[in-house]
Amino acid sequence: MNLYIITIGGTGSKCFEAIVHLGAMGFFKEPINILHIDADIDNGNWQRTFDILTAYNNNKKHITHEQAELFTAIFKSPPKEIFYPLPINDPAVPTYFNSLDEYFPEYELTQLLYTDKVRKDSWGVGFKGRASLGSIVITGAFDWNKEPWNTIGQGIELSLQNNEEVRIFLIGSIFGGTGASIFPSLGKLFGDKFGGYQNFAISGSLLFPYFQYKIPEGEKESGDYAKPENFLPKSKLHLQYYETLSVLNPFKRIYILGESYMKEVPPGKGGSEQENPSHHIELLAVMSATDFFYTTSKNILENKMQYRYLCRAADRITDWTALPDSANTTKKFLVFTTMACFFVGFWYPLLKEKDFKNSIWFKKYLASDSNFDDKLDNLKKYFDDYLLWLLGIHVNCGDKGTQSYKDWLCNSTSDNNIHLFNSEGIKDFLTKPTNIEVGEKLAVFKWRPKNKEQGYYEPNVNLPYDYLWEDACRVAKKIKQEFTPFEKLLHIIYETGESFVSKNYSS
Amino acid sequence: MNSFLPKLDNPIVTGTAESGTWADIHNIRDDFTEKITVYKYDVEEISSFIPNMWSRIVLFKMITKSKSHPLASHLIGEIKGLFAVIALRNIYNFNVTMPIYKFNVNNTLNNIATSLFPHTISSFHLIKVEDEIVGGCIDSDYYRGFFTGAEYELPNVPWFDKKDKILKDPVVNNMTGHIEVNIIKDALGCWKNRISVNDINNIDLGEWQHSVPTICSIEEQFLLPAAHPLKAITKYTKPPLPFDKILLRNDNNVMYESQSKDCKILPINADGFKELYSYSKQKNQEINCAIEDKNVTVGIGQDKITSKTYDKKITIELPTVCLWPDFMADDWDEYYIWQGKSGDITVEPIVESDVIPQHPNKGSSYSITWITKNLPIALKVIKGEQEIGIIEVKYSKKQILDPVDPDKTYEIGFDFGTTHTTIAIKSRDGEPEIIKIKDRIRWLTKSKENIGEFTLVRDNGKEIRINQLDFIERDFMPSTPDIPATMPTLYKKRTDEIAKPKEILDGIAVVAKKQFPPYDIDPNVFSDRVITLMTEPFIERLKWKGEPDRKYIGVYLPHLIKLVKAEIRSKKGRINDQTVRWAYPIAMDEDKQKALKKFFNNSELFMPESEAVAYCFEAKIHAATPSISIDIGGGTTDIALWSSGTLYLESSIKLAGNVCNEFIKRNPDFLEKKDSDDKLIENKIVWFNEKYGKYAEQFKIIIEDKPESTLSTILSLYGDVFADNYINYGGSNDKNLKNLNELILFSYCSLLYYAGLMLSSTGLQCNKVDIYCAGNGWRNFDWIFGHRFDSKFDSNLENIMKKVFIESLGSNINVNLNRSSQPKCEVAIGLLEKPNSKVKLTISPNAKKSILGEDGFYIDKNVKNFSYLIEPNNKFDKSFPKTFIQYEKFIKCIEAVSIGNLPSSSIIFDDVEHEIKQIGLAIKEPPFFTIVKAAIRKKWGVIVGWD
Repeated sequence: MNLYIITIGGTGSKCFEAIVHLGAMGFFKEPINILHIDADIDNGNWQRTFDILTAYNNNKKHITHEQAELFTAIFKSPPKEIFYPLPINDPAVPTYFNSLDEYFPEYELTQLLYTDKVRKDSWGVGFKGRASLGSIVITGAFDWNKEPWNTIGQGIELSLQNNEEVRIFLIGSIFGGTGASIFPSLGKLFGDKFGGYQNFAISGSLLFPYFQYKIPEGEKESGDYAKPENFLPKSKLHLQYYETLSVLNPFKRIYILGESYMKEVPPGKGGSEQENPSHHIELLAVMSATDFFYTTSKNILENKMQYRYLCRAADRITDWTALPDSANTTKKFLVFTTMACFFVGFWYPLLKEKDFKNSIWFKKYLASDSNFDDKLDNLKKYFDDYLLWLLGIHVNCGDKGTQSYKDWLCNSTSDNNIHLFNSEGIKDFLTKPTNIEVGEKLAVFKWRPKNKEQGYYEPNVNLPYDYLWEDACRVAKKIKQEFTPFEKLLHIIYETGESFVSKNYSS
Repeated sequence: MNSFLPKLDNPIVTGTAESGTWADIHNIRDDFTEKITVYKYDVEEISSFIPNMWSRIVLFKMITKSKSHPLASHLIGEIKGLFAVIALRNIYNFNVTMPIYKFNVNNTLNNIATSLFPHTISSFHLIKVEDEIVGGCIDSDYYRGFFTGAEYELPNVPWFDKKDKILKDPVVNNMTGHIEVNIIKDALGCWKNRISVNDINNIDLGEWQHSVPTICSIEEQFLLPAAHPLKAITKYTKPPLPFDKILLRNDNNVMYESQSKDCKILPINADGFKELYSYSKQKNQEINCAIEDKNVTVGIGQDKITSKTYDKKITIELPTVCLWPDFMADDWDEYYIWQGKSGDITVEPIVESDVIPQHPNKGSSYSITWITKNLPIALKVIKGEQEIGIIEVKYSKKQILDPVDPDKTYEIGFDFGTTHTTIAIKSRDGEPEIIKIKDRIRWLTKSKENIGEFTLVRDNGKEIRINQLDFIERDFMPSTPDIPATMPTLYKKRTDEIAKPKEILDGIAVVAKKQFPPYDIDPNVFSDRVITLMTEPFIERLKWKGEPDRKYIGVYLPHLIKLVKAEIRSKKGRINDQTVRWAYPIAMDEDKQKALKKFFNNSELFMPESEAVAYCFEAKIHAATPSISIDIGGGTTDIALWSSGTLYLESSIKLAGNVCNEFIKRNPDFLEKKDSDDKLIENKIVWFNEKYGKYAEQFKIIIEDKPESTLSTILSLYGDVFADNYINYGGSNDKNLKNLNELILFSYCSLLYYAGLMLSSTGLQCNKVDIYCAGNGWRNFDWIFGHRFDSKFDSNLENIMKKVFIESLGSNINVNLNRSSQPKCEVAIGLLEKPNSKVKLTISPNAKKSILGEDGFYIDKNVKNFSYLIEPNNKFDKSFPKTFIQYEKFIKCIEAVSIGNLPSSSIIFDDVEHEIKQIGLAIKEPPFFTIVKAAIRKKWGVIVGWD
């Protein structure tokens, strides 16, 4: 099966971040062709995502032998850049335009269909929530004869002609400008070209408002900020638009996700300053892609267009049972988070110790790798990012001020509706990495819940590092000799993490 | 199960789906989209919300799919503004063009546009006004018709909104320029009706031209929804307009004007170019329009304006004219126009169809009533034989009802009492509510305050002056301002005679099977023939067997239904598919029940009144503690004894609030206030409010004719005034009032006493009993004793009644006297509670056996028990007892606590014996009350419940 994910706009970039982490956890077992579309490559959210993707790929490239459930996803970007810029922001882009009037000067159609203000408004910070503008730009810029659409189109065409299945998944917000406009437009463009193939299906996740912000005083009249009060009206009109399309709708499935309460985020009009914490709805959006990708062909290709939503037991509450494929998903999260903590709290400082590098054990298993320290740094970087992403889901952020992203999250209050991990435990771990000499206990195990019924998991015992070391030795003895030292390390932390979880967390 | 979805009005139904699983939304619109609450749309930005450059067209497509879309009125207003521009282009000299727009394949924007449009575009025209692009017209399978642009500049158009930069509905927004809004209405009418290639031949439509009629009809049909006034206007404006004709209807060049400031005759105007009238003459389709400028009348046409000077003006007084109901709706087809006769001026409704209005009483001596199926849009004013102008009937936006909600059906419960009728309604998912019949009379020619009198010549030749306001209000609206819960049965037919209120079917009303007439029920259902046929099996036992009474019923019931229909329609309810439930009195014999059930073909829709009351008090009556409901109405009291949800005993007694009416009838000076020396003090009937004070003499005459409902009506209308001014402020020593107080206490206590006898006879063992006092009789009880109704008794009176009850029961148990919060409403509400009630009430097979209802038993069947039934604790054979032991116990008890000098058995024995012999073999009620009524007649001179 040939899988494509296209994330769109600011919300799409944050979902991209979740895609990377879920890929690291083993949710995607097949290569994912992935592309992100936005106007502004400098957007803070995208930059963070791109950094994480880079960190992921920096680790992934050192894995040549198959690992169990770790870093399984292969992210392919067609053909060069993973980012496709809309020609409205960067003057370096050949088709750059800064406003609709620049794009189509003195055209009767635009005069008929748009107000003067909309036609003249600068696109420097995007479409400001105006979805109808994005539809023009993407359709105008889209060309099957130009990259990246040329490569994507040919790849799809070839697969379809070989009777291979092709599934495309779009992710974007329904309430913004870029995502909301490009989502249906792109769906139509793909549908028009490949809709006739029986083995082709396009789907997507439409995210309803799940955050809000306050436009700064004095900026309300500037028009630079999309108005949060328009999010819901836009979303409703958007869906009503789909209703008018009826059978013309190219999508096989649309996943609808939203939240009944809004998290406050810093006001943003794009740019490098724009950096929002992760959100569980973005995680669920990516899980909807896995549902689409791994649903049997019969259910996808033969069914009529479906709108799907995710059930949960209690309003506002996100616990383990609310995640799709709950048992498997829970295990993946616990193992991955445990091994992230093992590495950051135990292995990384240990492996950096000069004395340890002289030990027989190190020399036996890990010493033969060149640039091993760089690889350790890459892995540490990735796990740090992962833990921050995880923390973002669990907190309500206040004013960022001049704080670093990490400090900002660690100083935030907990979102009491998220019953997954104990956010205070994650904060403790991130702010006070365990000292190997005095720690003895992994700070991560402080994420201790009140009881199991609330959806948390409580370790049965607190394991000292001695036990972890003992377990690592057990795993190391059985390790495949063809693994590179880096692969061996990954294997050890994965296996010890899994062992820890199976011993200490009962389902 | 909850979901990861935005907050919805109602949670999405997840079925059996579990947490963490993906589920399908089966109907995205109903199950999800419509549940998203949006309080406000940013109208400035809506054009850019839709993710398609054709968002303007998408929006118009959306509102054509859902007229209730929140943006519908906004966008429809714009399109009407555009239509007005096109229609009036010649009057205003607008340069309107509709150039075809051709999509060039070499043009990027055109390629984008065609690519993004959801379907193939067959043709597309821009609409330009003064070279400004203001809209378009597109033909495609996705959308076919007009749409407006996002923003444009048309400063010369009066209905152009300079702030929003869009056209608005010129009619709704009353954007009058130098031409009246009415002209725009007419012009829009022309547009709708006349649209053809020839009519708009100066607009180049290109390839689109052939489909003009189709497009216009589709869009106009939608754009002129039922509730819009434009519809009314356009329907009666027929082309072509004869603009070269003079527009005054009279030939002598006289302009008539009304002396009333409240109503104008058109065309009449003192200054300025303001007024227009237009209407169709029903047969020849002729249309005349006129506007008037000082002493010049002006006709206006699509192409030109003509004028003519008039010679003189004459001021006339218009008669009183009113219209019912006060709303218009496309599906409403019963309008009444009433005119009081006055001089030689008459009016005649102009309606929008060729159906000639009916005038059932044109020959009446004092009034003319017109009934129309279609909306009266204006009234012709006729002086002698000559039409001299029209009166325009305008409807405000508020008076134009929204379309019927197809899901809104009501069940209706009717409780027809002797003096009052109570109606409750219940929507499918709602709670029963007592319906309030609102004053829906519109006064067209005079304000309500200035309605005059007319002379009524009675059968005996006596003339009385009748306030037209009183007459019309009773005619159209037998409601009361203070008691919305009930309507006096008092009803005056639209004839010269004053009807006597009577029991309706002995307290029952025949309403309808399942639907309101006149839709599916033969209108003759209420005819004398049908009523006679229906009631033939028991006609001998009906009081209203005479034709005048049946005639009265035949008029009253449709009138009542009409009022209820209007209220339901005003709530957007469906008026042609209602379920009517009704109750019959417990005393009705089985023959009559069977006949009625057979006639109505659905016994589920009716039940005994006592059962309905029980459903109203559902939970309490279901308890093991015995409960007794004492429902005192205007003429009948129903007593029912329940325990554990089973009806053990019930009885119906013709002694109720009517004692008050009878007392007033016997003591007409009761309405006069006297001093301590019994001298009449001038102007002492101030309590009877100024309106009726003026007609005191006349009112006394009416009282004589309306023995059973007069007091109820007075008290209902002026109860507070009565209590405050007459009793509380100096009336308490009045001899008549004291007598009335004693009479009502004696009467009501006799009912309590009998209730005690009923409980005693069942043998139910209890140490507590709950008594529920229902019915409007209890409200009157309060008023008579000078209290406003507040759901509780005066403690002294309550103690007296409890003592009387305990005395009859013979054991000192705990008695709770409960008041209903809605006296008189229990039956009507209970009728509607039954279908959803979780409580199953049953009727004991013995419930009626020991009860004598008004016509429930025959003495020949029960002769052995007759004496027992008079005095349950004694045994007499074949002769009446000389001493009525229960009665003696009763008066002894009541004398001890309240009223003195009550007549003993020996004093009233002859009267009782006489009455028993009079009624022969048919005992109509418990003989205890034959004795009580004899005592009432003896002590107070009041005859109640005896023919």
